[in-house]
Amino acid sequence: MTEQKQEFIREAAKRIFAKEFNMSKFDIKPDDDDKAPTFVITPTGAMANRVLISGILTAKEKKTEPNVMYTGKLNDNTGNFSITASHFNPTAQQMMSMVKEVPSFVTVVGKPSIYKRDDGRIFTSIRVESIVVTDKTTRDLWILDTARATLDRIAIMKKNEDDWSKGVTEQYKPDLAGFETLVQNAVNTIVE
Amino acid sequence: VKFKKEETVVIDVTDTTNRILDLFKAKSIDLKSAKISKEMSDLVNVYGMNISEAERTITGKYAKENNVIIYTNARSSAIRDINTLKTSNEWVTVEGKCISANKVANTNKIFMKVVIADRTGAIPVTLWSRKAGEPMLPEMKEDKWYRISNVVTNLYNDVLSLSVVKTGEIEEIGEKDIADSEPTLVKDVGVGIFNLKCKVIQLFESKSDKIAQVGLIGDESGIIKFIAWKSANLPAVEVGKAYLFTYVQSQKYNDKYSVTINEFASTTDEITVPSKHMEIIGNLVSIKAGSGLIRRCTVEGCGRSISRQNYCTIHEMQTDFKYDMRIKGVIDDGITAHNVIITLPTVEKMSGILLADAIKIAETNPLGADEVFYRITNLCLGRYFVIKGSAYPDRVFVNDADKLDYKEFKKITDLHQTAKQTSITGDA
Repeated sequence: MTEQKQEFIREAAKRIFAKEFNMSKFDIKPDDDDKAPTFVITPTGAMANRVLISGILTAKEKKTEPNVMYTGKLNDNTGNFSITASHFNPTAQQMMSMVKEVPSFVTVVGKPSIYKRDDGRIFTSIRVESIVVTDKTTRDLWILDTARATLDRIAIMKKNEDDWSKGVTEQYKPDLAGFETLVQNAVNTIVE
Repeated sequence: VKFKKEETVVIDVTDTTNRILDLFKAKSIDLKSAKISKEMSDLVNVYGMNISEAERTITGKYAKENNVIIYTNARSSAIRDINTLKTSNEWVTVEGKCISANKVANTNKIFMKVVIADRTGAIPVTLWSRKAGEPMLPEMKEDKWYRISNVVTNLYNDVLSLSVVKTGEIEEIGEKDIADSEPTLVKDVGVGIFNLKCKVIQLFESKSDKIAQVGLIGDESGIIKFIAWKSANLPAVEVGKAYLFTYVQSQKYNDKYSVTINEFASTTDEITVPSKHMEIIGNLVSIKAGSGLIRRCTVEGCGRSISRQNYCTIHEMQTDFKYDMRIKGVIDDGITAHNVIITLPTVEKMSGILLADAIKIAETNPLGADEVFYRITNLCLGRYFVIKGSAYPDRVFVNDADKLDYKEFKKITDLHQTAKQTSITGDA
């Protein structure tokens, strides 16, 4: 057994464009423990238990039956993230309620997950931990940040040396050149 | 079946035997070498007695037989430099200045715990309590010089100390030269006693009323945690000032060293602590409870954050308090989530809310200090910053923060637009 660390180490938030994130089909749970985190694996090999996303909140809805539930759509210029804030996280709900205007620039930190419907279709969504109204500059910085992170992942996938890259390649057979185009297109959307 | 005789390692008792013979020779008592050697060897090799215990047993036996007090003899043995003491179970005599002296309250087994230093180093000394009728040990006093004779070195938890057992003697002597020894670099600190020339980098809040101050000190080579116990009655150190800390005692906990400071003197020497400075470009992804406008205890040297009802965990209900602002949060660069602590001037810079304004907001708003928390959250959370700070294994103390500049970040990421805005919007 390896050394058990007492202190809790927070997972870093991964940077993933919506278009890539929504193509995710797999998740893994490295530990058997019930409380162990689940990681969504994306086609360029990101392993995400937490994500940072920034863009335009284009829709926001509040359902009250059976419980209060906020849902929303966040567009990052490559696609839409589905975001949710359930009654299990009152702080997230409060923060959702404080985003008064739609559309508006927001930045969200949240937990990614994928669902398989009965018909076999796979859906992705992000459970909000925090959402705050930000601005265009923050969104533009996020695009650069996410572009860089994605290119870094693509570079590792291209080498295809380690077990992780090999495994992801086998599962997704990703079109890496296509993802490079996605990244460049995302950068091109920035209006300076 | 023939049993193979187990091979045993025979412990050599020659040195010990000679030492015993010398001790008695000095008292004009001639013991038979062969006899002592046989008795030593029997105790050690046949009965498996610890060699130092055997030495004491035999010395005691012949001292009694010859009606002499043998431990008084130790004075003749050579005085050792403290830095030559390396191994345990050595019988030694040292001379040194008493650096710290504490009576031990919780046990009647130990009379005092002191630290003595000579020009070569310092070592902790344990004075075990004597039984009635045994020669009493003097109460050692700080800054006085002593000869500590015929005591045994003892290694416990990687710390070498001197144990003043029954045979030991302590005698006050005249002051000797003690040239200031060169300070040790923080990176070279192991377990033991050291001199450090360090700058105070940060003070933490302490939850214990036994601790006067706790924080970080550092030199060119690194940073180390320090503790000043209230019982040491030291003046307070100040952040940003440099001191020569003499005879700090270091301990290892969870693979990290920390030091207990003893005495120190201010120094005007310029100390820069460069190695642990770090810059992080990241997003402030979390602002934790306890951030925003807080109240601090005004009791001298305390400064802990206290509750809205002015309750200090140490000093209980306070009539007075001092306002402060801070952010306890997380800066995430996509690889690592860094815990950060951001203090007043940087919080003012990041949020644009000055302390005076924050106080006004808190005092005129029904939500009080919560309103300041919400405003700081709305202004700073989810934004990109360039953080400059001092890194410690589990947190970064932020000295300065700037909003990340778009042009600057574009240069860093080396990303360029290859075409005017392209439309790639659409659900996947």
